[in-house]
Amino acid sequence: MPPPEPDLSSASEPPTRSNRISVRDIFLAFFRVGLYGFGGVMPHARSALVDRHGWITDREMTDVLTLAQLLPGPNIVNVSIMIGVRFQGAAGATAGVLGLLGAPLLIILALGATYLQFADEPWLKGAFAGVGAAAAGLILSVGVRLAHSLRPRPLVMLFGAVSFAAIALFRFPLPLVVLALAPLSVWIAWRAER
Amino acid sequence: MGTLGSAAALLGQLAMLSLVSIGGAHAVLPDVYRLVVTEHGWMTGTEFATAVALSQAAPGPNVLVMVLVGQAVGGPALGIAALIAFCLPSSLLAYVAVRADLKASGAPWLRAMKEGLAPITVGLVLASGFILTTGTVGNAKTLAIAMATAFLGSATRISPLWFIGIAALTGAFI
Repeated sequence: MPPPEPDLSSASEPPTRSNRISVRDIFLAFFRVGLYGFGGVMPHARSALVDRHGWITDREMTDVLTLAQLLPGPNIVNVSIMIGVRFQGAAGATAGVLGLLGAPLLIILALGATYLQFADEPWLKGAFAGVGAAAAGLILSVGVRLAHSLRPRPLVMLFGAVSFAAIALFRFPLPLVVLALAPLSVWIAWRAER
Repeated sequence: MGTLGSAAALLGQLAMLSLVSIGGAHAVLPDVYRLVVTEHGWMTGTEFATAVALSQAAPGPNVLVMVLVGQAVGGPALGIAALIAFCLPSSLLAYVAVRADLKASGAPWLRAMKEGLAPITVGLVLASGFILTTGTVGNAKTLAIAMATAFLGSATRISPLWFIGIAALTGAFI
């Protein structure tokens, strides 16, 4: 039995930083991610970038994701910028964002025009009330899932509770809450690291 | 306030919120709600919640809710402008961060930031869910829908599309 041919095209080859990933490739990759992303885009982004295209490794994806979550802004938009910059600089970042948001933007504009037009139909009013309640519940469920990932330490819980109360109960503006709590919380975490 | 004034107020607020939106679009919903529903009445609470729901049911990231809010306040052009206003400041920051090569995942300061910001993100997202729930739930039926979705959404891996579809039917016909 002859030894297997070396497979030059597959994942056995380490991902390269070459220019063969073009601006167009970046646009198309994120275009697909945006269109497939029903109810959460990030899993699609990971499978596209790591598995389908092999542009980055799983570990690199985790690094990108960590930074994307730390920075303000929608996580997936930050990911598209970071990947775009890595391979094609500012043009790549632009292509990533436009690819990601372009098609969903047109779809949501059409949906928005439709629902605003028919919003006064009685049965639609009922449907919208139900759907709005489900959306609120979904955001609560995202929060509960995130809460499960926290380290169960008193100070961590305290910062979570205070930021919740500041917005939900006392209705403080978000910038005030973030600017007051984030530096303190990060500083305490920094002290604990050392 | 004229149309131009409301557009400027919305876009300015979104651009500012962009820079403190740890946790993404979900985290800023209470502040957007306050501006467009409570303060100015550009949308009703139900319209706002419907916009959030549509953005979750449609393909693409949740940030597209900004398009629907802008569209409701001032038409499609303001919808697109609202998306840009919310995405551009944070995107420029992300661009600068990557250019500055902030990628050392094991670095202690990065771990400290992650640990420090995580509980605040959780608090903000839960607060957002709380405010949307109190703003949309008007009777026992909608309360039941919100609570059932919150429970099943966090305890199972069922796609959100199912919740939204079932909630629409329940709201319309029961």
